[in-house]
Amino acid sequence: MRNRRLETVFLAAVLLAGAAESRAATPEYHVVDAVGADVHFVRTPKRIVPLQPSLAELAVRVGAPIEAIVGVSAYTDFPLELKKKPSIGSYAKPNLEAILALKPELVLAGRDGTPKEIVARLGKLGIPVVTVATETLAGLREAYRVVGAALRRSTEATAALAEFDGELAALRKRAETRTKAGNSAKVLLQVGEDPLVVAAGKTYLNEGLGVIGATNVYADPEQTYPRVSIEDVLKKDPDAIVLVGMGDDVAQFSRAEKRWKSYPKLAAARAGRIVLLRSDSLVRPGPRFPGGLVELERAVYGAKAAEGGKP
Amino acid sequence: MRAFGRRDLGWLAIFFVAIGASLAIGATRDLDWAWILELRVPRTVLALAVGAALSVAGAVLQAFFKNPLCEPYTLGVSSGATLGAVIGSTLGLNALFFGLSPSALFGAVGFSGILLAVSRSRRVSASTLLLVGVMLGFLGSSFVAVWMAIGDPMGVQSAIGWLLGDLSRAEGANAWITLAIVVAVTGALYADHRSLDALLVGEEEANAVGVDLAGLRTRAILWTSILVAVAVSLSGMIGFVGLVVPQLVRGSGSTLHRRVLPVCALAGGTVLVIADTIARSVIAPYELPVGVVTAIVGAPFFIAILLRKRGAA
Repeated sequence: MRNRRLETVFLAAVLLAGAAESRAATPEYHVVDAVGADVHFVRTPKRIVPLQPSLAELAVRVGAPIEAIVGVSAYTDFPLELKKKPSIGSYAKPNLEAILALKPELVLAGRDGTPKEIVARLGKLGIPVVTVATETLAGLREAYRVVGAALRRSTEATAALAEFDGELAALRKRAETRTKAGNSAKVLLQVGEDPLVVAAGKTYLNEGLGVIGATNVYADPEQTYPRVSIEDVLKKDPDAIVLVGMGDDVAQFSRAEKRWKSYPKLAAARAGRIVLLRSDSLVRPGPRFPGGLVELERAVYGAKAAEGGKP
Repeated sequence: MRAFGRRDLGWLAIFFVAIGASLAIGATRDLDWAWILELRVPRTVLALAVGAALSVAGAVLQAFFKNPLCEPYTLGVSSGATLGAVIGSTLGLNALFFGLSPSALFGAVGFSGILLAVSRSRRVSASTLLLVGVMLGFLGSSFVAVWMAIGDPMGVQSAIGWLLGDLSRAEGANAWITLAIVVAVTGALYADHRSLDALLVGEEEANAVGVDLAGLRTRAILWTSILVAVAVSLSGMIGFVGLVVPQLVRGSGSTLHRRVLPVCALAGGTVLVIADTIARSVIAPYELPVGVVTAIVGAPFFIAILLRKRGAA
């Protein structure tokens, strides 16, 4: 008899425990990403590998704890603690072995930056990959939502996005004031010197120019980062030339700066608006982008006009 | 006459060591066995297949043009295959054949055909033919860059990947299929081993012993083009393996093709497996293009042979 009762109690306990466990495992959820992939999660990912510096920034911004980021791509240095994380290679050529060795529960990939074979193979190997498209402001805003959902931190993501939008709104407001005062600049965004490469219409940098009320002298919406000639730049005669420094090679941009300043007929040279701007915030399409745009605004319009004063 | 010697056992030993090293060494030390099966095994198999293909093709081209400096890369055949593969991939043809590119075959056959025509039309010297090949190579590479730049402004970067060789796309069954194709084509070339021996002595002599030269020419061009097309469509352009390996193999024993062809397949695979292991581990998690590794060893080797030939002449 007694045994019988014990058995029943035991059985009930087992059933209860089972039920509890299945309840813990059930909060299964899924996220549809920027390439339409439906990514399933059994639990909140605790080992995250972002394949681009901007994606690491975004993950942390929407609330991923630093210790959950278990590996990063080259040049990831914001927040600074991420610099010490194991490297999985460059964003353009991530190393599959290095990624797998980190046993990731979530890999964050860029639609246009991450090689498609890598995303496909990770998917085939059963690693959840969430792809976002941060090359436009709309895509970046959507990335807040997608990454927030993947990390089950939608509330934080919404708050962070509101802040991002607020910063952009402030920039747009100042731009409107300037435009009304007839102060809208034609800008050349140079991103490479050897060869001479510029950011054209189909880039987030071009969109950034729109936010600060400036226009791109290479606004062709079909072009991304074309090579152009010095002659053509002189003909277009921009009001400001911003040398957007990427990577470590400052020397080539100083060379470009010197060259543009040596053409006194250039409007930008006369106005003293040839600026070497080294800003990770600006070149990484991530949460710090509005901050980068404030720097760009200062470079294009000067500190006073940027703050809303008269040019 | 015994074709195989004790040194060939040496090649076999190096082969096993290379395979072991390739599976054990990579970007990371703590990789599960499952991942090794998934990642390093296909990559090792593909390196074997591509190295074997390039070396066998090199050995046949050297016999064919009677010039030790001939190989798919220096003759521009690889470059023709690359051009074909790149055009094919923009047209979406490659997905249909396990990533193997039928258009790469057209490119390889086309460029080989030009070389053949040049070598037949006038009495061109061996070094002239080689120069024509090198120029064809430049031409092909430039068209690849143009084509990729038109397709996608960032495409030049992936063109560089193609032009320098990259085995990182190795995947499961495809790698084994590639190896099977390479073994089969090597077998087909092996059927002509006596004719190739006769050809090395001279065309008249080959004719005298009853070799059907026209048929041999067609078969040699076709089979080597298939080997090159397979290698290139899966791994891009990898130079000098087809040059160095046949030299080493001929130098380490009998020069009869009954031995040269199979030993070249084994040794070529081994050499590329070693080169790829170096390429993916020295600066891990970054990778060197494997073609850079083979060129660093192969280009000086090329110069050394060139100088020795001059000295002998």
